[in-house]
Amino acid sequence: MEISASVIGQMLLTGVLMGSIYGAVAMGFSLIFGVAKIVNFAHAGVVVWVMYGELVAVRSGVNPYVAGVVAIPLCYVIGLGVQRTLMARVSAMSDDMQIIYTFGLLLVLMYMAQFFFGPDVHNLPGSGRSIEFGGVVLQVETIVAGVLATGSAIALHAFLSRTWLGKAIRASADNRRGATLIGLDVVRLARVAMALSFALAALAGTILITVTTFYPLRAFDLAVLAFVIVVLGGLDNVFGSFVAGVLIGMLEAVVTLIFSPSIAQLAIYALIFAVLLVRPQGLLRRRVMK
Amino acid sequence: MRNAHCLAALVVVALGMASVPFWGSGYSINLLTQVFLFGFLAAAWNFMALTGLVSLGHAAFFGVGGYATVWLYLNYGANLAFGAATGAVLAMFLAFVVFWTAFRTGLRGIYFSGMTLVLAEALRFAAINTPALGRSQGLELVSLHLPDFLLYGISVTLLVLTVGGTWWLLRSPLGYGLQAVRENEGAAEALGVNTFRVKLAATLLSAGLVAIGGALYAAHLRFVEPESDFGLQLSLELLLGTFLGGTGTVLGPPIGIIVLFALREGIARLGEFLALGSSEIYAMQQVLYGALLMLVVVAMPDGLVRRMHCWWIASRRAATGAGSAGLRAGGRVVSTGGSEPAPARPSILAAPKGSAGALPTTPLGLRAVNPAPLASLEPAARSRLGRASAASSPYLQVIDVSRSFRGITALADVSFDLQQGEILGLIGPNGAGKTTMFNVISGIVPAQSGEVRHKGEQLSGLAAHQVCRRGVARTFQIVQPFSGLTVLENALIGALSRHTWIADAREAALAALAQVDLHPKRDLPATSLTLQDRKMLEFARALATGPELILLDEVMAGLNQSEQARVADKILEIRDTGVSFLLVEHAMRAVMRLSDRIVVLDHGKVIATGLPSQIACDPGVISVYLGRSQVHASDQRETVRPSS
Repeated sequence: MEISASVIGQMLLTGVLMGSIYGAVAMGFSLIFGVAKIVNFAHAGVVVWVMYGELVAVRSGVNPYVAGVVAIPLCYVIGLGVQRTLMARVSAMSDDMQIIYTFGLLLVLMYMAQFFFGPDVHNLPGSGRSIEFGGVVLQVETIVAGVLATGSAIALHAFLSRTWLGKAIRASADNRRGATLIGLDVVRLARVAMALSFALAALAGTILITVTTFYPLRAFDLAVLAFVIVVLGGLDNVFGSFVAGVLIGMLEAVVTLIFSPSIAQLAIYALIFAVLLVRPQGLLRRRVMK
Repeated sequence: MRNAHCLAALVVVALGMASVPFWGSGYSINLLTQVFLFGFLAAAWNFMALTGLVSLGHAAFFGVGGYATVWLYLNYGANLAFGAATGAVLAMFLAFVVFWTAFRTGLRGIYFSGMTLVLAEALRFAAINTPALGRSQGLELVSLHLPDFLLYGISVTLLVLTVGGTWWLLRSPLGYGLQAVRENEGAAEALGVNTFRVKLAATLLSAGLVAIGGALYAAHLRFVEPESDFGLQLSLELLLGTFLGGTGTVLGPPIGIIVLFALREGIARLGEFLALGSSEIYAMQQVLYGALLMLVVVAMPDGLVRRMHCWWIASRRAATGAGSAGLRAGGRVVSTGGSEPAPARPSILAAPKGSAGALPTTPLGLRAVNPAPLASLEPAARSRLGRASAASSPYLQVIDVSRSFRGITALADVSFDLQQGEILGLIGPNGAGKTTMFNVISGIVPAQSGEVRHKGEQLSGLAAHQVCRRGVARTFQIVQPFSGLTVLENALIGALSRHTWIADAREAALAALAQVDLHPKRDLPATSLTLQDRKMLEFARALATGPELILLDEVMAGLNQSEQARVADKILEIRDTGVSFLLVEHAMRAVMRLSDRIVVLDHGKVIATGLPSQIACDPGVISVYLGRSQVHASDQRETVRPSS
């Protein structure tokens, strides 16, 4: 392929847009880790179930974005319930136990999807419309997805840094005991965080389904991807996860253009492997002395 | 005797397993080969889990073993055994590079597990992208077919060897090191365990064995493929099998795997009965795996083996009436004789004067268990050192040591020295830097400037276990027993820092326990001890390392006056064998009574050094620390201080 300015532009924009979607997946993972101290690998399982829910809705004639508008509050409520039941005892477990527990939940969610919907690859028929400017062609769905993801990241950041509830959530993430001592109900805040992370999973599922193919085991790839992004951004740094997601998306786009998609995956894993061994506190974070 | 029973049972089981090829069907031999192979793999995974590390990426080593074997066969016609050995070496090399770095950077928790997960995933994509490895198709072992009974035999042999190896390992010095690391890495390091090396050894062993398993599995399926060899499925299966059976137990991993395979077969039968497709059956099996993972974590994190053991004990106790058995976490039973709580000790507070060295008299023969006089500890150091010898060259020198944490100064140019046979008290208000000083001396926290010299040699810069091996032992303010182990095993881990053989170490450990009166409780689990006994266990563990200097961090905190007096007597007794002490203590009465000299720290600076009597009258010290109890303290100096 000839590498011209428009190809590079195409690649960078696609990378940024896809990366922002990855960021949206990772933000929910990061939020719940930061606040409830739960390493929730099952997050990606929720995303995949949202995608299958959307698939059912779309097949019966509902617009995917409309389905998303219903899915987000629904998942918020489900998240509240899950934090009360399935996840109630998880934050007290050690890291290793949490990982095993949520991996178990991921397996359950992923293979329930396979049981009911089969292992086949699905995708939604696109609108076929695209926008061109300066030689760069982008699908409408990709643009909408990127805008929604970026918008949600900015909104979440604003929520966490400007509102009382957001600050309370950050306070309980920073120091659970301290937050309790100043009268914050950390258990309730963890529930809100879990609900928010479920809502983010719904949003991520909605925008993912419009731009990519999916299958039950996609949940596993997404779980590893979310972990990778979140480590890159610093585990409990929600906005950092979004930025790291964009970086990963761009890396993927660049390597895909030069080599192939599976080499891009390899490059991502090699990068994160190096980051873990060299800078485990995340690339986007100042080194904190212990 | 019990071990003999175990061995006999093991032999019977092994013979039974060996006979299967003579009567089993092709299908059952095939299935059992897989069961035993995975049992072996889980047991190999368990070697790493013995140190408390959880790996989600053992598929990496499994795949390396499988791919190496098949690739070498296809390209060079290499013998499969040679291929497996090469794979094992490659896997161990990979594990060495990766985990050496991971342990050095101190990865733990989610970062560690995530790193192992990413390792396997990266290798999966590397295989997918390598034409020589057949990309996503993998490689096929064409024109080679090993007889089923051979693969079966190898699987059984490897399983038996690994299970036996685990049993043996748990009783070896390395095994005690592994268990100490699992229970409490910091304490293990302070007791002379080279935790870095111990973890690396367990990891390499585990990786190499799993690679051999991968080679065997490749020979069994006659192909390798990225998804099944490097995929998460395999890692999770090993993890689940081991957790289900019980991590760190001898028989847990194969038992867990057997249960898993039984459930899996059951679901397959059920699925066939319901006329489900293979994809649905597979999905059901995986849902079950997931649900089991969650269930095990919530309901049975100890695993089946330990749980059955508890039931067995409970039923035996119900049968025999009175409980006379103690349970320990290794899944073994130790008869404890009289495990009733020790009788209350009479207070000796009433007679503090001149009571140094005298054993408290206790009823019920507790004195009789103090047989191992101090003599047995360190004969060379026994020459009694009176206070007169305190003027010789310093045993330990702290020279201008500074340390700050995030800009907060914990220690600022602290200097003092300690003579051999001396008891030096280190006091100061909360936050004065006493514990930091201990951590610097014992190598847990490096000093930012200044140095610590031990018999004229540099001590700063050494790791904690090296400091311990030079004869400087310590206890922790917050007691940190290895809670899964018995009292004796706790002390044994300390003793192993200077003994190569378990028998010698056991003797030293028993002597140390006798010195602090814990001898009768040697077979109890460390968790069953009272706070006082736990403090004494800390003391005994430190003693077992054969120290010349012991750093005691608030060994008296939380004890009542009579208990404190008893501890003080012990300290004086042990000092008389030539051991020096550095005490951090808030119990003023005890410090004033025990110490030959006292160093006072405040805000990280030494504000006074001198005899207890001088310190008690020092206006600076009184103002920062003893202000309110001035009269009281000087009173103690005159009345409580013993003459030796």
